[in-house]
Amino acid sequence: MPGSSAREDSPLRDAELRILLVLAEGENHGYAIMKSIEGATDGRYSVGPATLYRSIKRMLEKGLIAEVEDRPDPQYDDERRRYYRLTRVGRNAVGAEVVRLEGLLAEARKQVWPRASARKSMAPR
Amino acid sequence: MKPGSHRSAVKLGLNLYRLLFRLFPRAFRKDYEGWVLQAFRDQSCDALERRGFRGLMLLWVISIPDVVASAICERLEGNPMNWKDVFRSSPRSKPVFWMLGFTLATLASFPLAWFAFWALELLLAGPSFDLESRRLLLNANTSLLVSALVLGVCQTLLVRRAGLPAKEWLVTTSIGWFVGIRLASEAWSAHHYWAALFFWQRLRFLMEVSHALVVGVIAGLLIGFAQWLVLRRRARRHYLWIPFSVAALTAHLLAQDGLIGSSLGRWIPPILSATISAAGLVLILRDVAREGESPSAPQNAALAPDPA
Repeated sequence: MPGSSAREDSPLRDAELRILLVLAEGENHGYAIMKSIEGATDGRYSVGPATLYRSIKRMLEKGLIAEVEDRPDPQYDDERRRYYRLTRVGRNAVGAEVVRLEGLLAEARKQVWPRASARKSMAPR
Repeated sequence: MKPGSHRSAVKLGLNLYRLLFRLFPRAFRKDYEGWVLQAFRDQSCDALERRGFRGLMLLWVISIPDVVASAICERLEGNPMNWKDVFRSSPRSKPVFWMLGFTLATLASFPLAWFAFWALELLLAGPSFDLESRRLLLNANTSLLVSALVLGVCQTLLVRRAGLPAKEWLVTTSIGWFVGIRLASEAWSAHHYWAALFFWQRLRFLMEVSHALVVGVIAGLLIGFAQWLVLRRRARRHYLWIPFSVAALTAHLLAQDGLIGSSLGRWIPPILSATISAAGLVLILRDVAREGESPSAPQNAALAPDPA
């Protein structure tokens, strides 16, 4: 479509992809998602509560995640929390995004280190 | 710091966050306010436990732009943006656009003041004037006066759309800024001397915090008071303005101290203070617009939309 932006071509935003990656490990609640993201990146990337719930709202609307109706085991449950899980659509979206990013990375490597990529492609397998 | 004051600091941060969360559309607030505030409360307690009061302040510095930017994006997504709206809207018709415009106008006043001062210097001293004579001619007071006037003009362009009298806002903002910053800089020198004696080097962090609080409160009170003189006859919630002004300038100085040496230190503090001021004005002036529409508020009849 003429005039469509790069953002529209990419179905997931950075924060959304990171949230989905956390939920790919298992269902979780908002604050635990924030902490997991910060922990996974050694504090280099963090998501604030406002960004987190805006992303959650968008992803719920798109069907990428769903609210967990069955509460976890009472000993692990915290009544103040709302738990989310990844849906099948969400899992497919993460897979597609990872493939897209791999393609982008390969393309970037070719541009930045053309000789190294050529040697790699010519190397006997 | 004692546990009691820790609890107060978390509560204060939570109240500020709750206030800023009002910038989100009503539908979003209804569905997510409780969850967002719960996450912010947990984050605050965690920051306090892990890094103390400094960690909590750092969290505020990060969280305030996050909540404001998210609120703006959330509103823009439901209402595609036309850049002209930023400078044509009023706090009643499109509050977020107006807030964005006010923030941009305040931020733009700083480089504009620099250009204005440079032009004045060229005009008065001429290009061949030696540096020492220029310094004598255009001292710190002149540059402060120029910045106060430019800030007043930039803000006036926006507040007149909210129905406030342009001349009064220009005069009070310029005088308030000039007097507030002048006295705050005097207070800074005095405080620096006494704080250096009192806290010495061992409590350097406390010295920086107390410096930001003293200077921020003095400058915020004086500037806020000057502008409040315009607001007090026109808005029911005019009393909110002075606390917002103090919060904006204190946040500016705290962020400046917290981000010293970082490349963000140049940009985040003015953005933070301009955003807090803009948020406060939207809260106050939206009320003015509503009062203006109400026939039970004759003192605000002049602010009601023109029937023509």
